[in-house]
Amino acid sequence: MKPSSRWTPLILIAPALIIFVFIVLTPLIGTAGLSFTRWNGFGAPKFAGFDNYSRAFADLVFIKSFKNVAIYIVVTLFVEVLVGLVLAGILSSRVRTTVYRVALFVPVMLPMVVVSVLWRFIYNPDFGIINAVVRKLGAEEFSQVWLGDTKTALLSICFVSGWVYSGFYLAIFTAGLQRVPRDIIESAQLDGASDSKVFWKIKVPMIRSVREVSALLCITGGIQGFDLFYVMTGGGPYYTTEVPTTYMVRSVFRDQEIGYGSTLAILLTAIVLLVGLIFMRIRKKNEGSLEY
Amino acid sequence: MINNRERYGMKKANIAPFKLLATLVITALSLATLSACSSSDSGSSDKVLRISTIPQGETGDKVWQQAADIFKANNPEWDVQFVIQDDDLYETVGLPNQLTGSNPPDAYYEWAGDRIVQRYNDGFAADLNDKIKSSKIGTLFDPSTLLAGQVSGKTVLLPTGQDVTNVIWYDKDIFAKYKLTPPTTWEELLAICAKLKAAGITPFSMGNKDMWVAGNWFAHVYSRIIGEKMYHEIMTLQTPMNSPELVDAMKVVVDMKKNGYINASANSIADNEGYTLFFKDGAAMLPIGSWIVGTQKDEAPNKHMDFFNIPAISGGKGDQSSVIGVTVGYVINGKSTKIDKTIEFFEGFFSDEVTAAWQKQGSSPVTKTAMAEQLDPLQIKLGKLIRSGVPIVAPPDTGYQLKNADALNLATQQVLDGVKTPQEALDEAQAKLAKK
Repeated sequence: MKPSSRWTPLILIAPALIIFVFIVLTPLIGTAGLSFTRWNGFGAPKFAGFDNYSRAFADLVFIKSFKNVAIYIVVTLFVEVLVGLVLAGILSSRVRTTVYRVALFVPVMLPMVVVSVLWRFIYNPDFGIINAVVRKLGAEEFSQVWLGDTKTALLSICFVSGWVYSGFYLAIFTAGLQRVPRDIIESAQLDGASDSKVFWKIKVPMIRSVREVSALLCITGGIQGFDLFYVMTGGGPYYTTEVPTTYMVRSVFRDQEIGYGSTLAILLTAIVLLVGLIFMRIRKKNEGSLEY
Repeated sequence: MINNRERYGMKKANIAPFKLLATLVITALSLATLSACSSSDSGSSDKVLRISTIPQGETGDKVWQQAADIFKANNPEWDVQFVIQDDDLYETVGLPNQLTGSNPPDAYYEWAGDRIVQRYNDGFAADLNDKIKSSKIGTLFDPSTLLAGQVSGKTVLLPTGQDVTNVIWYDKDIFAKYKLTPPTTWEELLAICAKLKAAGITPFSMGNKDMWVAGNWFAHVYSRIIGEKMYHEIMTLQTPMNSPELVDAMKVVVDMKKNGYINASANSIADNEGYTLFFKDGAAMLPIGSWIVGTQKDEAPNKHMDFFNIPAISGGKGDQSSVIGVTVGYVINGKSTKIDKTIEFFEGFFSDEVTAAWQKQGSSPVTKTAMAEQLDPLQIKLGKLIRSGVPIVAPPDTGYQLKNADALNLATQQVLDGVKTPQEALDEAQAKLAKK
């Protein structure tokens, strides 16, 4: 249908546009401006040219934070997306699974700060449940300072992330799997395909777009991850769990280097956009392949 | 095929919406900028006093309310709003954000030392010399008590206490059970640790996730070993952090780690989790400051504890009776438009009535009346320690610039965890400071 006036589309998008300008565009422009300054939050910012950018590219902690986030994303692709997919496969092939679905989705509804505090207690080396169970089983040597050991801290956070978000991906994949036509599945079953074969060879390939969206959400969400890291370890021990967002917050608020922190924010935004664009390009390339 | 007229018409039709779009974006941007600029002025002319502080415990909140009630009784049209933030957050992120935010506090909690100098230089600390003389506050304090809160001869901090930021608290029952007495030398302390360790008890518990707990404790130890002067020079970057003297002093931390005298979880748990471990008999000693008295009253009233200062370290270049501590109190925001009303609030806050309530709560105020009549035996002992005329060593995080404190505290944490040698940790700290 054609709009009655050429102004109509603009009037309709105006509220969203104004909100976008206020909460995205203005802060982004402001942050970009600050990224070229040296400023501690008091007094007037001093122009610093590209100093902050050259410093960021040579900053070993900032570089390490990207390595950490890369590990986090790779691990969470398994413990969130893959586990969510497998759970969806198991639950969608059974009846009366509502209780399990709800139970697995509950962590998604909890605020991340609550989850972080809860798991801090669980991981507490002195009073935590995990070490208590390990000790009760007489395996004292396996008790760990989970969040304080450079070998276990990042993986411990990944595990919590999986505990939370596998339920989220379970919901997404369940919706996708329900779209797969029954007749295709029944044909395969008549041909003697097992449940496992039906799932991996028919259902999973047919929900490619859902898989791609899930992977994109996991990757971009991972890059933006903050609360779990900030509350559980604060980036420690010794930057082992430092991710770009926690480092940015540390630079701006603790070190009071607002100019440098803004530079990190701009670089992070650019990287998230780049990842999104690459992903879209890959998707476009694969368009036309068989999918339900 | 599109003819010229149609093409022109289409172009015309497209230009206007784009103009509107651009106008909308520019208007919204201007409004956003204007609102950001004007926000800093809001809230300055209302009749609300905003006081920012760190948590004072459940009983402490009641005393705050008592002070607010006194003020409101004399100023019924005014209100008092307390902004209470977790101390770690407040000390680092919280206070600067509040001061530059849209509703800045009229008065705020601070630690004397470099921090108040910075606040004064930035215009966030009012010169109170004249106000003190012309108000009741002048009569409530001994002039010498106010000295610690001065910057270039100008009083900017109204002191509420002198925190001993680190002594060794010990469990009296455990010490009695193993027939231990507070040590007078570092060697005796190590002997106590060895005995406790042999009995299956962790000698020390601490929550050093945020680095300042071990930071304060060992900074005091370093100052005893290298001398107060050199410690100050290092913290003010007049001497490099990786000086051989400090590298040597840090071997104390290596020994503690090697012998397993500190809970293995130290660097992964927060300060309050360290207290809990001590309160629940998870360790025999807790290196922490005077504020633990109030926490113990709230959380473990049946715990029998006492303290001793760090014992003398043989061969140390510093004064072996020194105390690590800081004067704390309230600064009145130099940019506040309600300085007189804030002074009036503090007249009530420092009154004998409210002071008595603070003492009952376990705090140790420093007004003339409070100094003459302390109630809590532990606070009396702490007060005697800090006012005994011995050198007072400033803690890294509250006495010096945060980035310098962070560098030293991180080095201590790394050595405590065994991930770096003192030399490596301090070289890294120095390199980091040199870059900034």
